[in-house]
Amino acid sequence: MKCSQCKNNAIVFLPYSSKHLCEQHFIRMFDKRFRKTIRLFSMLRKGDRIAVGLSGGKDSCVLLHSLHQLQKDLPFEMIAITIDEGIKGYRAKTLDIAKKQCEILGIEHRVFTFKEVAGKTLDQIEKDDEDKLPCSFCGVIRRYMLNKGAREVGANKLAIGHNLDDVAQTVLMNIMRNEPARLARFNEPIVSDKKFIPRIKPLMLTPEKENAIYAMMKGIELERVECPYAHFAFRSHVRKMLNESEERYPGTKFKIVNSFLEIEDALRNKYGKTASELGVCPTCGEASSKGICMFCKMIS
Amino acid sequence: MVFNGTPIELLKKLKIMREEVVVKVNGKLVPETTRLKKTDKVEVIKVVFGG
Repeated sequence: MKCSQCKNNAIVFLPYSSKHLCEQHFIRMFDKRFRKTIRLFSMLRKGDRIAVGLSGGKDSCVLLHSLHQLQKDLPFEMIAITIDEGIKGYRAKTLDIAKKQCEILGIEHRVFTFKEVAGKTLDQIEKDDEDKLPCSFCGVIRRYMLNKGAREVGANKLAIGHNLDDVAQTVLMNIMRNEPARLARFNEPIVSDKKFIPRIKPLMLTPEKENAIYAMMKGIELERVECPYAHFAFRSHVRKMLNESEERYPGTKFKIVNSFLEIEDALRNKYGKTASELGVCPTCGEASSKGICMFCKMIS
Repeated sequence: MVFNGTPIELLKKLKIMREEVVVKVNGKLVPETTRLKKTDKVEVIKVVFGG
């Protein structure tokens, strides 16, 4: 099979665009889309100090690699931060990959652990309260720690490796849970506060599978382990549903995300008016809209 | 196992979701529309994990 853009052999078929691409044209398309996404949403500026949320999974490693490549054309600082939840048999492997990637690229790396911030590992939290879903704990604590970690390293933005699949899943999950206000603020907080480090998602228009292909081509080590708690999550159900739809109707994920981006302003206008002013959590001093923040409630 | 068809058809037969894997034939990435030969060695690599 030949590349749709040259005479070389294709290595990939993209069903949503009906294109076959060779290695060179795939990488070119990937890098171009990465930069276009950053431009489209004005994610980066000269002189920014970016904290990259680096889990060691393929998405965050590709993000680190692509941002490092972009530094050649746009001067900004970068530091990687990893949150170690303390999940036996899972995090140690990806943490090792994260460390290696930072060493290869010469990027400063900081690791923050659940244990030092929340007093216990996710495994212990799950053991203590088996009725609660570990993913809801993990999501809240990880978000809290990434934000705090980014602030600690002096970053003015936090880059995360959310890809097109993640964004499409989140949009659908918020619709299926009837949470339009949450959907309105998912891409950008409605209420700003100096304690909240703005998040950027340069891979939000890149399909997850293409991140894996890119990682393979660039020699980035791929994790081969699944989080042992993943099957608990509602996200797993939505992921399966979306992947089935994508196979039957290629382009579904792009269409969901594009539809969201089209209505995002309308949602923000509607729900922005009812957003309350942010206060301070009386326990930890972090920004919170409802007294004690979710993080403090969860670890107490 | 001997299979006559494309990786897309093979994945369908094995009930593996195409969106979650990458296919290598004889150690190289190939488009999943490629017609397989009897002697080809196909590797299906899971690349999408929950977490």
